Amino acid sequence: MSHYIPSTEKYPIVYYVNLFYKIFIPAVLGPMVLFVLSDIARRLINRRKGAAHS
Amino acid sequence: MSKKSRSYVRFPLARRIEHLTMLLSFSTLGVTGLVQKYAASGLSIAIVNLVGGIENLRAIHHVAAIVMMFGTMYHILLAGYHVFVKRSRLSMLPALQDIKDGWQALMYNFGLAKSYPQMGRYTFEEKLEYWAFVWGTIVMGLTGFMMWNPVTTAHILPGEFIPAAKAAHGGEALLAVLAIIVWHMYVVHIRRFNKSIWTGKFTEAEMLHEHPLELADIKAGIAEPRLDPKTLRKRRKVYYPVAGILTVVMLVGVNSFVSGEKTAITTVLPISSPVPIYLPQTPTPSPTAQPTPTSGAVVLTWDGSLGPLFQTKCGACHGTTVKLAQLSFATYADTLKGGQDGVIILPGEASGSSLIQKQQAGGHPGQFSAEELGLVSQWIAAGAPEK
Repeated sequence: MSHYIPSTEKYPIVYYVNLFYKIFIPAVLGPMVLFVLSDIARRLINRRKGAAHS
Repeated sequence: MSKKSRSYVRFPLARRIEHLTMLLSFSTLGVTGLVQKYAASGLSIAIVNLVGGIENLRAIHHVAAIVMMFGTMYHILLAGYHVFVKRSRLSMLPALQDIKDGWQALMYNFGLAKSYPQMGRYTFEEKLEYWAFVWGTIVMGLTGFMMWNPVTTAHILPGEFIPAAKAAHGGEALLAVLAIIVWHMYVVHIRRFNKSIWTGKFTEAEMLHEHPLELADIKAGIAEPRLDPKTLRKRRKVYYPVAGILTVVMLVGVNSFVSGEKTAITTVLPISSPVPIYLPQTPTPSPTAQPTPTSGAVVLTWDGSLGPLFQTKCGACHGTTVKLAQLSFATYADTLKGGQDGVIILPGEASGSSLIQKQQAGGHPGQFSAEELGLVSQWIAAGAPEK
């Protein structure tokens, strides 16, 4: 296998597993990063306004 | 009593031990696993050297995996006790309210909701992390088993599932480590340093801030079901034997996982033979013919010697079936046509041809020897003739 690059014709399961994680990792981490950044921003805004978070 | 001084037990000792076990095993698995996934990086090489070689690193990875298996077993048994004996609330189960809470929190951060959601025993952030860990443990356990026991796997599934398991194991590991760095680090350590997994306690102020609904339940006396000693004893009498059987089954499972096969975890040493395997034939049976001097300079052509040379050295990656970089040396026309980076041979200009430049730089998988490179240079310099 090491001599071949997995593709839909050659080693399709390996190809689809790699494809799954290429999509799944950003799909999970993207919203996490969005939430974290929005939380940081909200805390900075609240601090500037002098209000506590939540 | 002030809100600051009054404290509530959030994590009893058993939970804290569980967390420590998972923290140590997960961290070890993450480091030793990613080092194997990105083996060529300088940091990976440094870590491998630090632990005394790849064999040691793999052994550490396997020991950490076994520790995590025991940690998982312990968690299952403890969860069973809480569910069956104590009939605790299933507060870690995901619910529609968690999605609502998550959405409200996001909207609050964007300034579109008036307040942050009030949550109970486990917040949506904690549940997300817990269930991600459960998912990760299942995937890593299954794919780890397939890599650790390839012969057994190949009896059940096609062989291709083993490299697929390796791909999934690596992908899931990367996801888990990144999620811990992004999510766990922020929610538990950066946003507000939450020490309760170490101290086991939360102050009333912390409870009010993080888990106000649970605090309200505690104050109302409905957070945990009240059990009379007789019922507790009765349930324990049922649960302990079941837990004992379950423990034996899980231990047998772990033992089969770990020691079922040695194929993938054993480095096969070179086989020693009592008799010499190779003995050069001496003396030579018939005298070697003396080389006859050639009458003139060798005429290098594609058909004569260069074609076979290219196909032998380069054909595996640049042939008819596989054409890396769209470059093929299958025919004379293909060779002169070049690949995705353009023409690589300039007839009459050996030093200007990118083929020669690339080969002279060295390190190419299909590297010509110095003698072969000399022949190819001569051939190009002579106009790269076909016949």
